Amino acid sequence: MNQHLNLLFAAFGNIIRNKVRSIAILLCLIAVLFPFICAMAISEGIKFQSLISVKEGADIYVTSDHYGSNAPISLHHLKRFQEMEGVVRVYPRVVGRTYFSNRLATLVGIPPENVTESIRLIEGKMFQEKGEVVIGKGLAKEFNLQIGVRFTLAANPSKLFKITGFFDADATIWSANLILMAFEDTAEFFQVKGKATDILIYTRPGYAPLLAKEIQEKSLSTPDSLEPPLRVQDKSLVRRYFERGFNYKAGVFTALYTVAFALAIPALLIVSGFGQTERRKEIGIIKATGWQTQEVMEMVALENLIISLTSAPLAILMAMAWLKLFNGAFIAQFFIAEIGLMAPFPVPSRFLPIPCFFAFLFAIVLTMVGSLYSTWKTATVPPVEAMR
Amino acid sequence: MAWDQYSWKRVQSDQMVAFQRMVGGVGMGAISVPIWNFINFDPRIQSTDDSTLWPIPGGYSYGPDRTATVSYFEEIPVNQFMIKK
Repeated sequence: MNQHLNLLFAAFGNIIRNKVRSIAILLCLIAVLFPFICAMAISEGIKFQSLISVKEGADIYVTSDHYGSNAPISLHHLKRFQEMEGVVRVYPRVVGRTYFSNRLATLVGIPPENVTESIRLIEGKMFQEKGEVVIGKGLAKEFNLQIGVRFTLAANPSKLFKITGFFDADATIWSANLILMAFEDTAEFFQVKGKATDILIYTRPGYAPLLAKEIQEKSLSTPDSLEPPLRVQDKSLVRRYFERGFNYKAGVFTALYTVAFALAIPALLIVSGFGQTERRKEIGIIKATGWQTQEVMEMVALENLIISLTSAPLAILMAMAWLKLFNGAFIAQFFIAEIGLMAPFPVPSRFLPIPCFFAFLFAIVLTMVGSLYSTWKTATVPPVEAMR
Repeated sequence: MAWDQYSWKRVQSDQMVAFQRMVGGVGMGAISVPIWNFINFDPRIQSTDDSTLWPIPGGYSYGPDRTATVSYFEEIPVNQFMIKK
């Protein structure tokens, strides 16, 4: 035990003695780990918000299927869905897009009875009358909007809206540029009467798959109907979207790994090459004083362990500070598309232990790969040759 | 990390839940608006990637949300091929 402790102290001594080398390795490792940890934290944050969206969403979403794509569904289906066994609630919804000045916004139209008391607005109140809308914090901030402002949008200048409230910025990333209004208002604005983008069905527990199947089969069993077939998405399918959507196939991860490995190369070179002559001499001297090869290897491994244990938490702390205090300024745009240098909403970031452990693992693998072989090679030659 | 976990737990029963419950679930991907297509914003609204249909039909999707985010939604294939003898 004492021997291992002595080797640990020797490793500490080496790190402190070779300050430049140690700092260079630490900085390289932090540069490699920082974007990786940021990406993982933002990914987990969005995943968390997305999961809430899936959980709190409807059990079944029904749309029309036009030429293989989702299309507006006629409201006459509402009554039929309401009468099905196991259905608790049915309502239509419109989700569309339009430009608010030069900024793209998502328009959502819901029945006014959906509005709950628990919704907290940073200012104003929820819409109650025709033409009233609640606006996301991102849009409000960008255009310096005030409660009571009346406006029209280029897509339909005849439709007048009045702002009654602003969403809390903490709601979700999707509410920042969102305009919420009554279902009838969206129908008027988009000039699509009697249709909705989707019909949402809430069912009793266990009924959703059966009802989804029934709706789908019924829609396909009438091929002579003038109506296009329906497209039914139940919660299990939505969960599959979620699971597949957040796996590591995301392009940015590929890019990040490439960057990480590109940055890791100088780190490896530093570990294995920078100060190599000095390191060779050191190894030669300690071998000449009676050290065994395995002791040299253990000391170097401990050095790597100390460096990894220092660099990983430092990178985590830096990522936390950057994402929580500076709202991921400049870097969040690499992980959340189209938000610009400064996100108009709190960038969601969640630091879980496993990604942080991976960061440490990444650091230790890099340093070990870069140093163990070269150390072993030096430690197995005669000390005189190593010191030369 | 413990503080971070705690703050997220507190959020869960807060605004996000109330908002999503009210709108029936809007938004799933790492993009705040459906700038190029709906699939990466929310595949429930449009499950097909129509950005591959333009500007070059059948070509590469130029939407930045296809690559520059931490999420990536694909249309889930459904078996619609039936051989009849």
